[in-house]
Amino acid sequence: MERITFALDGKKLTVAKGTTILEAARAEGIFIPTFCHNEKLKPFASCFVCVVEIAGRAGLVPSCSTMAAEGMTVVTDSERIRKARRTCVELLLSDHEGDCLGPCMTTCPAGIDIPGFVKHLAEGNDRAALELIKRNMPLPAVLGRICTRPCEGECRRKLVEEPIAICQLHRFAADRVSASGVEYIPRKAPSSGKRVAVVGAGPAGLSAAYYLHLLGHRCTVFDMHEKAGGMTRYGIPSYRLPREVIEREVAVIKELGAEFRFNTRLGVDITLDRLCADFDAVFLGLGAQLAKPMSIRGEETEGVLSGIGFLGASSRDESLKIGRRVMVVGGGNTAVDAARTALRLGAGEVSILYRRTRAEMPAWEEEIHAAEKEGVRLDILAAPVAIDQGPDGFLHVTCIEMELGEPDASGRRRPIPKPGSEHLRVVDNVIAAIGQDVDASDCSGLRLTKWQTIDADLHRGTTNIDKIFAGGDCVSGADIAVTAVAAGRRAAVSIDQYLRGEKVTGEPVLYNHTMGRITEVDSRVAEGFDKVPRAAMPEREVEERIRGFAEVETGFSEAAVRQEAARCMECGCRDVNECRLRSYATEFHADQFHYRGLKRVYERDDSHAEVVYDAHKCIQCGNCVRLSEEILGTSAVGFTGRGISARVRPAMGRPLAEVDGKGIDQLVENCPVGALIRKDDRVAALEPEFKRPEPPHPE
Amino acid sequence: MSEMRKTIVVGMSSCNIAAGAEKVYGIIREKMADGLDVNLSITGCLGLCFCEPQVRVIDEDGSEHLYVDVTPERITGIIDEHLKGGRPIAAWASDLNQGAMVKLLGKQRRIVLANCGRINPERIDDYLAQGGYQALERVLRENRPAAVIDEVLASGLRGRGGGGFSTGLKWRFAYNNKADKKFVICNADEGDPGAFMDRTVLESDPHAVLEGMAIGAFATGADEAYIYCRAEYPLAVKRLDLAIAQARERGLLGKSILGTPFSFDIHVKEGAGAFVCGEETALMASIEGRRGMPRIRPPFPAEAGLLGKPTTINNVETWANIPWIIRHGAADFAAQGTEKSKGSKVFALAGKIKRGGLVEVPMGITLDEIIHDIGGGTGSKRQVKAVQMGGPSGGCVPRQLFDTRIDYDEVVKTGAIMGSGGMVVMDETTCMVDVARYFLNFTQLESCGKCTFCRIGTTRMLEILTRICHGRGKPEDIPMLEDLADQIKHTSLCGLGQTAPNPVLTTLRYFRDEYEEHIHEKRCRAGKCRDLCSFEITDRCVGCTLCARNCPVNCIAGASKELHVIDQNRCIRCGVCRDVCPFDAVAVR
Amino acid sequence: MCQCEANDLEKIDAIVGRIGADATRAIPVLQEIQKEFHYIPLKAIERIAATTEMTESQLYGVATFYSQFRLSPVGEKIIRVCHGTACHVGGAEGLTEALEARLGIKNGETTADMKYTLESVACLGCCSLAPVVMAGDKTYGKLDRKKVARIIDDLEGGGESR
Repeated sequence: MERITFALDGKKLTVAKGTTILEAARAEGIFIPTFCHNEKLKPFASCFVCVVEIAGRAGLVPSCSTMAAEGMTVVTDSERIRKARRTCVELLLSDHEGDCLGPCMTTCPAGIDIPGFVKHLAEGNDRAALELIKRNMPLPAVLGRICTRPCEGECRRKLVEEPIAICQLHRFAADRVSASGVEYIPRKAPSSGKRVAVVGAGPAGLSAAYYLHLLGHRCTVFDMHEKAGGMTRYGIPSYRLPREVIEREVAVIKELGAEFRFNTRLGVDITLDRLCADFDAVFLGLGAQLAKPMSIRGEETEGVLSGIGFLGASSRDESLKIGRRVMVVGGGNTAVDAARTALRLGAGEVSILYRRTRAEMPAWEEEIHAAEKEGVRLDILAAPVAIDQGPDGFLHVTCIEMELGEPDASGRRRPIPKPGSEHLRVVDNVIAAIGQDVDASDCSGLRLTKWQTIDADLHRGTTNIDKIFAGGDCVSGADIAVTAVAAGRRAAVSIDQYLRGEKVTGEPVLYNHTMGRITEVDSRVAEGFDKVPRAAMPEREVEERIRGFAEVETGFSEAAVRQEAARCMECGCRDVNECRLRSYATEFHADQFHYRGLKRVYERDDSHAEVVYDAHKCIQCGNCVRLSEEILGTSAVGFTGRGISARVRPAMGRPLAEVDGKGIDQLVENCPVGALIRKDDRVAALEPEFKRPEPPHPE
Repeated sequence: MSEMRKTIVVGMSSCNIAAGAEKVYGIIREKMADGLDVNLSITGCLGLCFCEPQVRVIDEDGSEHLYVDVTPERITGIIDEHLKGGRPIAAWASDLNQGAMVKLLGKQRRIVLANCGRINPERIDDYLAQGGYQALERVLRENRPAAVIDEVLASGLRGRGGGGFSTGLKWRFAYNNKADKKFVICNADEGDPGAFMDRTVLESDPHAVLEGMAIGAFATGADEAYIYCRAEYPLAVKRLDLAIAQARERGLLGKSILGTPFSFDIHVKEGAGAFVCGEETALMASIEGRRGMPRIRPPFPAEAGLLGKPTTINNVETWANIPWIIRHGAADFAAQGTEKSKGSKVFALAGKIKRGGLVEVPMGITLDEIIHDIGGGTGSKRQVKAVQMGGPSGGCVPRQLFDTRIDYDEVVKTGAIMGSGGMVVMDETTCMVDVARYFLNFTQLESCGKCTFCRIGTTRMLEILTRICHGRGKPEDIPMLEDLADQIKHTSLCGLGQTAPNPVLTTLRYFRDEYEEHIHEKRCRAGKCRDLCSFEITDRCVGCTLCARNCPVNCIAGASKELHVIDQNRCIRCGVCRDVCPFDAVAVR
Repeated sequence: MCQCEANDLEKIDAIVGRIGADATRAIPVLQEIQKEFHYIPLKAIERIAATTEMTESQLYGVATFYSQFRLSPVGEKIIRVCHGTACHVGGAEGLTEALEARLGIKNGETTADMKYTLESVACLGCCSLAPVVMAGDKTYGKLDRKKVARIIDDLEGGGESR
């Protein structure tokens, strides 16, 4: 056989004549991406992601179909090549419609594999569901009760009727497994012998400790309070989150080996320097525990409380005394929680004073509704301007009416006081719940931001000190619990990398393609689904619940869960972990929106019993067409049209079920993306086991 | 043919017919039926398309009179006065030895077009009378294929389809590849909008192409050929079919041509509407009955072409040069032109040009000579702004570069390409962003859809250009266009993709200020992009009412001899008022 | 062509018989089918695929690739507005608009009475007469918005126009 010699990335190679550059490179273990190349088929040269440089040629050439020639000098990786490959991928992405992951999953700050666990619940596998949830988020019983569920806002089921009750479903999974008596204790990596100090036993700290243990490290968790849970315990009333639920999930973390030291305050009982000396790494999850002042006259008057202070006190003592008339100032969940708690503690008249309208209230709509049902009065477009101790012994609050002006930086319309609308209100207590600040004053040496939060990388959790990591509210400012849980997990991955002496890159970020927000999505995705109403969460009657702190929401029945879970549309791509488009998009840091243009029309053919053809995902590599022509001899699929409208279609544009189906599995197998996919493939983005993430590498 | 009769020859090419030649022909036939005693014949296109239909009258003494712009009224006059009365009508005739005609014809060098508009393309005897098929006869008699290739190589002939590859070398590759079967193909898929050289040659002198192909087949060892002709050229197909039939009848095609062992036959394959089939691998796929999707080269067609056999593909004009080169010798051919571009080149002049049509000029002539001396400039008060060369693969050469010589390599330096010969002249009313958008629209529609960069990249470029033309352009659009253009150019499989960005790149190079005006000032100075311009009637208006009468939406008010006013709310910014105004009183705002 | 009557099948078979049945004959076969039926009925593709070595995928792929082929019936007269470069520069868009207004259809559509189909073509090669329109097999040059509408008037009235 005739042989030729050529240079590949500076190395002299002798190969058989007729060998393509791609084949020669692969034999040498050199990575060259390709979509359209398939060893079984003749070279096609259509995707052009496999381009390489040949000395003396102006253009880049496709390595899959260019044969190595005597004396040729080939380069397979350069700035220019990477740019071309990235452009190729970005062009394909601009003409590719679909979601890699369900929008619920990508909206969830913790990235829980929601379609995956919901499917398990639909099939009755509660434990499998819980394992998958805990892969990303170790507190489902807690969050299943209090999460503000951003995921449900993006649920595609909204295009049919209402979102899936995702939050309450994951509560069910957690409750069911606990009720079985055998908690799920995940497998740990072999011990590293390293010790990590975690400051703060709130959602961030608990999450960091949980995952650090899974990664083989030992944690000691310090907290200034007497019990674990942080804001979930001291900022959320027990009628929403019973305390034993917190204990249950903390117990798992203890079981994994974490040691807890309560009543230990940073800066008083321990110092950061000491922790750094005694431990191999430190994670700070301090939270945002400082009540934001109203900055009005008379704020210090007796009887004026902070929302967070009041909730903390009532959490420790459920027989706390409160006045008859209570005015809560603020519009967030803390304000609503404070108002409902005041009712339970015996207040007769509770009002919430908010300076904008109900529509602008940041509190969760269901909570506001529940508060109203319980008798809390909403007093909107009003704000306090001064508080005086009246001669009658009550608080005299001067209020002013507001109106809405132009939108401010947050996009909400700015409230403007109405001149001359001042008026007096007489109450027993004022509870100021207008937000919390971070108190990081005891972190000497750590760089803070101008908002006095810890200046840490939001993704990796790294700070200006190598050994110290931080996450949760103390970094982001007051935010929802699930965001803190996510920050704890991501920091755990970074800390693990740090402890192993690796470069701290944090959790790998995989490319995710999206069809867009719920408002932008092609409504055709909702076609073919019958309307099934969302399961309603059973609640205690109002009369009963305001008499005490019993949990208001009593949980779904099993039957309701199975039916609710079955409503899931299983968004996200079944090929997500095998898809080469996603893998290369990750590799080349591609941006879906770099080349923005007219989107492909959503076009699903699910006529076939076993296989779905999503034409909107097809990238025209032609593997299926050539396979069916060259090997199967069926001509079941072919190219149609031309230019940007060219499409791979079943013969004559028929439904897939009506063409020769011989060897259709081979077509599915050779589709580099999820355009042709088996129906019985699960939507399963993640493995349940939490492991040290390997850096992504295509193929 | 009776010596005692006058002969009248009617130009019957597609362009003549579109201009009304059939009607003229019909009137002559009617008069002959009524006893008019003349010889009636037809011919193809003389290239003077700007003054068609044309009729040539040859008197009994052989003197010729070329009548131009022949309307039905004029032909009746010509019949009465000239044919019957013997009194030529000088006012309607074009004197080829006078003024503009001298400029027009004097600078030309007709090799390919020599017979066009002179002979009857439907009669082989006319071609034979001009020395036709003598070249074929000679090479068959001498029977030295390699010598034929040497001759073609020595002539310096380069592919006239645009690529400019040496024809002789191409033949030699095919010759060197031994095979049981070889093909030659004539690429007559003249897809460039604005080009009509091949159509004219096929309609006006089909035998020259057939003879060239027969010589090429003999030289390379082929025995079968295809002419792949655009479906939009029905007359060309008809005349080719006729010519092939006549050549077979005379033993010039078929078995044992002219009694030699050489057998050769030609099939005409009609295209079905796909620009990309001008690319040779797509063309072959199309002949094989498949979608016209190009494949990577190598292997080149000379090695593995049609049905896997060695194949020589040249375009119409290239083949039509061959008989001349063989008859007159390589030296005569190579004596004309520049160092690396020999012979002549046919161009199709169109657009904002006074004397549009086909011209054949020696290589080395300047663009200015073609556009101003031969073409006569815009023919209006407006100045030439640029000339678009090479169609969708080419570029816009601005006026300041009109001293560029016609030479493959010189033209490339401007960013355009020699191309197949389309030249569309543009004046101040042409918006260069719109021109770029026009070409990108064309290429993205014609992209076969196989490769990523061409399929999606050209679409994204078009979307950006469309946005700019509609006043929604953003400052980052220009760098985005440049980036995409560069990458598509260097990362595409076939010529369509590799050259598709050229119209954008050249307009960005020479007319960047127009892009910037569109984006930053939301203004189209040419008055073409409707969202970015308005028209106003200035005080130069004399109240002739021409604009008001031509306005398609009747939104111009004004009495005769009074200043006219455009109702801006109803105006659709079509620019008709400006086009018709004889006083240049309509201004773009 | 109604749902493939027997004589339609005969016509199809005759065309295949005349042009050839091997795979390389796909384009001329489809061209003849279109000449016969004025479009390519899907039933014809099915018939050809069933009786020759051409496949449905090949024929359908070819029929949707080349702009000449159409898979739905067209009007008696096809009005093709040339959008070559010279015609574009000369105002072809305006001609399309005028014809759209005159015929009451959009480019690419057929009138309800199936008389006219309005189309764009890349280039008719009559650039020196730009802008150009081809109605049926007749080409009209040097047009403007007014003149182009008159072509339809003439076709309607049976008259002629230049």
